[in-house]
Amino acid sequence: MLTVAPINDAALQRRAWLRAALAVLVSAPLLARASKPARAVPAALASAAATSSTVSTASTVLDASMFDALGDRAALARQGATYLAAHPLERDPGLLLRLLVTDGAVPLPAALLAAIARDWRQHDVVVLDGWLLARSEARICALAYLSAPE
Amino acid sequence: MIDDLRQLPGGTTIHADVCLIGAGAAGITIARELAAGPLQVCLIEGGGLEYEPESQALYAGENAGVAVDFEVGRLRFLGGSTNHWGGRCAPLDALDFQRREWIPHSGWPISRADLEPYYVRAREVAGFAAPWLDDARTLAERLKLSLPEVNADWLRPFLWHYAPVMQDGGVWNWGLAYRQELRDSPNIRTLLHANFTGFASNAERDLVRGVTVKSLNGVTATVTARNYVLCCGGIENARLLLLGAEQNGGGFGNRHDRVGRYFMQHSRGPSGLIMSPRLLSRTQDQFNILRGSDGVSVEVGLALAPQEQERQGLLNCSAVLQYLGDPDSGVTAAQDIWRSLKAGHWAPDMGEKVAHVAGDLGAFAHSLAHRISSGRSLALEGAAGLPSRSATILLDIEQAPDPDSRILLGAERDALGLRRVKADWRIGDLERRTAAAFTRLIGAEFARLDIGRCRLEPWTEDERVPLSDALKETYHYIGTTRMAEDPREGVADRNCAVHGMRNLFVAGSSVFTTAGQANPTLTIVALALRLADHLK
Repeated sequence: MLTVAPINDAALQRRAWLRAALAVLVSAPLLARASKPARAVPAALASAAATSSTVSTASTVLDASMFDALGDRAALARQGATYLAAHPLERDPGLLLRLLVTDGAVPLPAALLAAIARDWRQHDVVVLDGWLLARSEARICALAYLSAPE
Repeated sequence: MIDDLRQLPGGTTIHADVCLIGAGAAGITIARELAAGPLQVCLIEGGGLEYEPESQALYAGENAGVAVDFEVGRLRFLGGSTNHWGGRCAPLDALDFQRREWIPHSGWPISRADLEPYYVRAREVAGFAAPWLDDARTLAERLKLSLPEVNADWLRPFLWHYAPVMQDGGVWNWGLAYRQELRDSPNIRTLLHANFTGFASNAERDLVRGVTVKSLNGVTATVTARNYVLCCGGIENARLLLLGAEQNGGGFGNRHDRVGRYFMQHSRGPSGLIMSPRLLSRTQDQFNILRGSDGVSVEVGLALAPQEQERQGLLNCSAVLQYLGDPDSGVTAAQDIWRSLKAGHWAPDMGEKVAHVAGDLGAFAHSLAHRISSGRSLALEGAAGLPSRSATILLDIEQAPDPDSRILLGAERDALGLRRVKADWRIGDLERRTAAAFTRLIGAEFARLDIGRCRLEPWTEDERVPLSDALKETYHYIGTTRMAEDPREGVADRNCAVHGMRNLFVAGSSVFTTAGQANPTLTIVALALRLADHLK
């Protein structure tokens, strides 16, 4: 039987998450440009990554999706690695960004939240290390992995 | 009257219109129904009025597959296995009776509609005096309870009723509830300590001439009747028919080698964990055992929607939440303090507990507000009522009928010289697939509704984990003398008459063609009432 992993010290986890998410969202567009020069990064995402509002964006999205239940950034990256191992064709930050944000006109937080909500409604889910995630959440994990320092 | 074979002269012959073999829920129900008319009934029970180890030992058996605990799952005295019944009742779903193309060997020869009037009567026989609520939504209206709006295409809130508590405080059981009635009935002769030892049949082996019985102290008797009904439960019914076939040179309801096959249980096990950073107070008031002030005692869980079963090709399945109390919660500390003060003393570690409350004021305030707003319309008992941030998803999974999952006769013999039972119980991959898909749907809906996040048990996704490690038996023994129109597909016909036999019938969960996910007792009683009507 599973043991109950305590969701303790949520504030600490949230701070770790904010750092992780900030790094993901700042670095992902850069990675995307480097790997996929032919496709433009969604304007809203690039804009979000370049402004201080990125912090609150990440905070809102990740709080809303309760990612703090899953652990720190390293855990998140591991989930991303697992996802990419099963979906090697998505091993591309630019592609992941395009899959996550299909409408560049929509503000980033709303777009990510909408993508996650849509996944739940449509039962587009994946299981990573036992955790049930919306596919968009798994893709955010994958971005975290791709943007993580070696 | 209630007789004891041990006190009768050896070689006694008892004549009756109907001989019922086994005095559990099915046997006692049929006896009571028939006794209301002109028929004379002989009700044979292998045990006595109370538990006796030497009688219970006759139930021992051997396993060739997933382990079956023969002596724990069944009880051999008046009332049968209702003596340890949990009292959980629900009818089977309409889909359970239908032929489901995605489940081989599914499809009863009768429908839910055929059984509906008997379900109504069965509630009364099972002791229900309080109003019966048709479904979870009706319950919600009655208790002013707001159930979460889960996607109805995937999931449905499911409702189980609990049978009433008896005067001695135990769960309703047939042996106690109807003992005096059996004693007083002029039409029912109940014979205790009368262990079945054999069928006598005609030369064509299609008519039962008599049943021989024997007590453990060696007194024998014969019961002759116009009709005979096996009412010994899902394992023993098959064993006695197999013994009958062996004693009578084959055939005897087993011409097509179907007796004992399709052995099923509801497989039960934890499939995942719901976790939340917040207290699950609201969910605990929704999915739980709930007791209304008017005597209604019910449990609300979730079941797989019929259309999703069909869409994904799955079995029926249900789940309840088992809340894991959070001892570190400020609410738990506040409850300890409150209980101590009510008892007139300080709680141990009072300072530490007060600090706990102070450190968890948010949860405490949330819980307090919830209690006030819910108006205490429900009483939650035991661990289910402790403040929790996590809950186990506990599944009850229907099994797919598998002819290779079966009850056989073993090599060893019991104290009466009869071959003991042997089980080769098998659980298939469709059960795992159903568990995984159902748990994913629950997890997705709970995430969408912001109730909590789900982590699945490894066995649901990993085929290397043996199902026998993850799932436990429920002691619901089903399918071994299943109903089927075609004798090549089952043992009993739509009237529970054994194919190829003119006066032998079967009652109990052994006649279920498929198991559904609901606990079987209510359906056992409904089918027994229907059979009684047929025999009248």
